[in-house]
Amino acid sequence: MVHYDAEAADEIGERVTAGEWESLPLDGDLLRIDTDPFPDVAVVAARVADATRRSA
Amino acid sequence: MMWSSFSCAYNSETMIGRASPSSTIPRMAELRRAGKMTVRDTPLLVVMTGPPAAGKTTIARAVADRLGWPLVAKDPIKETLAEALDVRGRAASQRLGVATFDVLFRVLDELLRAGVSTVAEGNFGRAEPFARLPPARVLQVHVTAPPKTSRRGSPTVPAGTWCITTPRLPTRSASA
Repeated sequence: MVHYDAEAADEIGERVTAGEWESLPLDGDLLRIDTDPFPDVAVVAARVADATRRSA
Repeated sequence: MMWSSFSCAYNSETMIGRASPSSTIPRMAELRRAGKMTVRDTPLLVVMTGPPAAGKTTIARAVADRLGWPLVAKDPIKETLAEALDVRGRAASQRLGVATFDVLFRVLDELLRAGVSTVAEGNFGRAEPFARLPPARVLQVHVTAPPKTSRRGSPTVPAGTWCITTPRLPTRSASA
């Protein structure tokens, strides 16, 4: 599923390039996923789930 | 497929926010008994961040399904409100976006207050609202794609090499 405000689509690329929507300064671990090319979501979900179990 | 610097260590300093007055969510005891939700003294909040159309929702849905945790995502809330309120136009959509995040964080507050581990997804732009949530251990999953990919919507691209890294572990003071 991919969706975004179509009326804002033209400016999304510029805003990404400008650094908007970077990762947030939250406490805790940060995992980065590059979706170009798009990964196998089942594998991603499994690894994220594994990360949550390690935190138990 | 490539993995690098994968680290999931937490410590006692990973909690954020402050406690809110106690409340209950109906069916919590039932859900706990059924094992449908992971409930701990301190719940875990998986925060999916990144630009629009990078694939956050697709991944967040899969993560939530895998864990059996609730998914609180921005777009379904916004789309529901937009349809119900017949919102049209860019300015109205932007106002609705602000309201949508208010609703999203209200729901997160209630879930975390009840001790329910949750997946949150949206193009979050600020950390401050998370600091106001009840205590939770946080795992941020930042989904990124080059701007050209974000604009065209990459999830139709076949699977290939990718990675998860932990380039930094933000300090507590960084979220203040």
